[in-house]
Amino acid sequence: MNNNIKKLLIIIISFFVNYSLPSTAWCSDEKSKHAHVNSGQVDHSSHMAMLEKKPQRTVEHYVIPQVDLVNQDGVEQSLEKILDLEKFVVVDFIFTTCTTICPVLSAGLVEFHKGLEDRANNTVLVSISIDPEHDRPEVLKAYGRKYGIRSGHELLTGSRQDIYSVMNAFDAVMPNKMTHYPLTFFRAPGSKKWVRVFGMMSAADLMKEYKNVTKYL
Amino acid sequence: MKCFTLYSMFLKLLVFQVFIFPDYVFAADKRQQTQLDKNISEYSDQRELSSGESIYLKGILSDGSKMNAFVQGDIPVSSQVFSCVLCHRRSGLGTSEGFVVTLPVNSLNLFRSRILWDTRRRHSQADSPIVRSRQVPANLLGKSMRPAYTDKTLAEVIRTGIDPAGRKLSGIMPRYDLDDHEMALLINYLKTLSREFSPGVTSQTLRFATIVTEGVSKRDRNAMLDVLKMHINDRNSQTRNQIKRARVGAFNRRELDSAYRILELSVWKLTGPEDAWRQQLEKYISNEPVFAVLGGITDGRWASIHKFSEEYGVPVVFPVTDQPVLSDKSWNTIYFSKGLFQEGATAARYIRRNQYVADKTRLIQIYIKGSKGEVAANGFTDTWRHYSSKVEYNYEIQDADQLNDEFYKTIIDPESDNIFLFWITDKEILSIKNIMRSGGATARIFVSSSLLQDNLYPISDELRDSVYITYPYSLPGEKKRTNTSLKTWLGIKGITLTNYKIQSQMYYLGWVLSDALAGLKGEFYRDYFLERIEMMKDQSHTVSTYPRLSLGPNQRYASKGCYIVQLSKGKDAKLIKKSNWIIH
Repeated sequence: MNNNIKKLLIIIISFFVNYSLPSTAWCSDEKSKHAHVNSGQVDHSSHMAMLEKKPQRTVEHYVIPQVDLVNQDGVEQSLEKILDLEKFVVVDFIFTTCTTICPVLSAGLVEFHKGLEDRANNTVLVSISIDPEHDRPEVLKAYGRKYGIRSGHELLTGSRQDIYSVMNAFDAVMPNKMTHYPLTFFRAPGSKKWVRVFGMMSAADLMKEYKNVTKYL
Repeated sequence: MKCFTLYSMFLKLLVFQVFIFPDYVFAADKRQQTQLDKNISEYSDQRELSSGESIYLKGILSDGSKMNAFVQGDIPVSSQVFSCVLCHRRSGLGTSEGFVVTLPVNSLNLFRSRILWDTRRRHSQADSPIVRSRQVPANLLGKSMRPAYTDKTLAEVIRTGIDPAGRKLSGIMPRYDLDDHEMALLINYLKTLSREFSPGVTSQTLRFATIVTEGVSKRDRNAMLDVLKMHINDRNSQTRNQIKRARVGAFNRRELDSAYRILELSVWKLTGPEDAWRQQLEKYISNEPVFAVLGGITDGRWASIHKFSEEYGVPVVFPVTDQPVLSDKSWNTIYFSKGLFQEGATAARYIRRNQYVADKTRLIQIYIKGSKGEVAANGFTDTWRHYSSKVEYNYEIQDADQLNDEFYKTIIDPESDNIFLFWITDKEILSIKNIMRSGGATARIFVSSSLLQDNLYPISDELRDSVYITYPYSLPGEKKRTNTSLKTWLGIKGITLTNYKIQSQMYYLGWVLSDALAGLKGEFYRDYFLERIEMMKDQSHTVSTYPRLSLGPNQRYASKGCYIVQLSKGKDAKLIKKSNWIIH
């Protein structure tokens, strides 16, 4: 084959490559996601899409395990007692050295708590640490002070085994804290049903869920 | 599989492609650069960097006030809590946690367009030329994710969350109400953030050091060095083709391939007293700058090396020491645990949990002044004061000869329940029997397995019910699988098992290093290196000496608990577990 034909072929093939296939869509979605990760170029759009989605709500039935957890003041109490059946209950999972989700979750709960005004007396807010080794009561206390939590907002820690059983009960097992994801749980007084919300919420979203939770008795 | 074949075909075809469309990729960037230059002049470059740093790290403005910010649209937050560093971290390279990725905000990443399959050279130090196979064909580039930031667009995204491509950032990113002056200070700081690679990095090598101080036994020194060196050798033997691949390999592996470096390890030997180490360290680092210090071993205090690492900004990762510096402000050194301090603290927690202290109880703490035992005693005192107003009696003795019957008779009150916190070493352990003889028959005696160097057998049978031992490691038989994998690895590498704890610690460090370097993806900044280690998985197959090692952002002590055990009676004594892994 002479050189001219070779060159011509190359041009034709290149043309084909350029215009017949759109940018990176030459693999299935799953594959191309994988390729992005491997190349070190994180395609933020998929993460953004997840975050920008409206929080996803489901209604669940959970059995609270018989465990004793310690709050930010070092007081040990059974979780069942803390999650007072006679009050509104809001639960989330955090760890104090988290850099991304937990600060926003905690600031959100604090703002929401403020917005409850008189209803706060009838509401228990509970944030459970998923990093109990580090989050000792004194560490939780400092965290609470930093975020300005109010009375009625319990920051809980415990043995790893107990924390696992709580995560398990709430279908929120996060064995590695860096794969933590945002969950908030709501329960109306006297109800055994929990509203489970996956996703980041604004203070208004939290209030809306709180007001709607009485629908699930 | 089909996809893979298609993909291979592409790689081959694309080699030809770049001959036909050279440099198209960079045209947009060049246009953007002109715009950027224009905008830089709108701000003065003479602003104080420290003011910008204070905004980034602490969320404090130049006049000492804090700025207002909102997250998720309607949640007001304090900039001191939600400062830039909280998510973007010290290096500015960002984090990923769960499904949230915090993007890099260091100067090189901000002031250039963000595109997929980015093959542009990132650093001035990368002196090897990029061959054409490295350049991504324009059609595979996809759309540019965003153009390079200018000062103006950067200010806009910080205030409004709208990026130059018109996209709205997640509500997790706070919107900050910064005036022009403060914004200029912050942007000027960002222009300096992680701009040049840290010392110890060349285009092909990455230099580390390890530290050995005088007084460490030859056995322990070699236990550390052999495993560490073997890890480095192992890694280097796998990288022989990476240098070539980094230069001529396929574009889609550029990030991975170009992140490879040949690792070099220097051994810094420190001699003389602790005061003399600083000068030696300064000499070592000026002669051969290193990226970080791996491991290291001393029989004494780590404090002066810790201070050096803070002042020179050199990361020190997992040194072998039972006297680390306890600080929640330090950044550069990551320890396995709080060492003896943690054992003292555990004794306090155990005593409190089991309610051993009543009105008539006397807590008696004994240690030799200036010895390692004092560290454990401090751990006990520091923790106990949070639990009880009952003060312990501290007896600082000069040497073990003081621990005779007469001494015990003066301190033991036979009418009370006596709890001894007996922070002595294996050399003085025999004096423990005098406690009972001197009227402390019902006493509980706490000792440290680390101080006793695991030499527990001198504790006689009649004492074994009374002696409680702090044990900060996995119990024998607890981690059979990881033990086997470590021993197999040592066997394959021809390394004799001489000191299980040190060798398993260094074995673990080798894997942490490997993960952290892979995570850097070519961003060779010391701060980012530490941040990658912080983000390591909580559980790893390589942890054998400890039940669990975990870090997190700003955490510097990986093992956070300790067992209390007792010794069974008889010649083949075994450890009896008296507590779970105590963390609170």
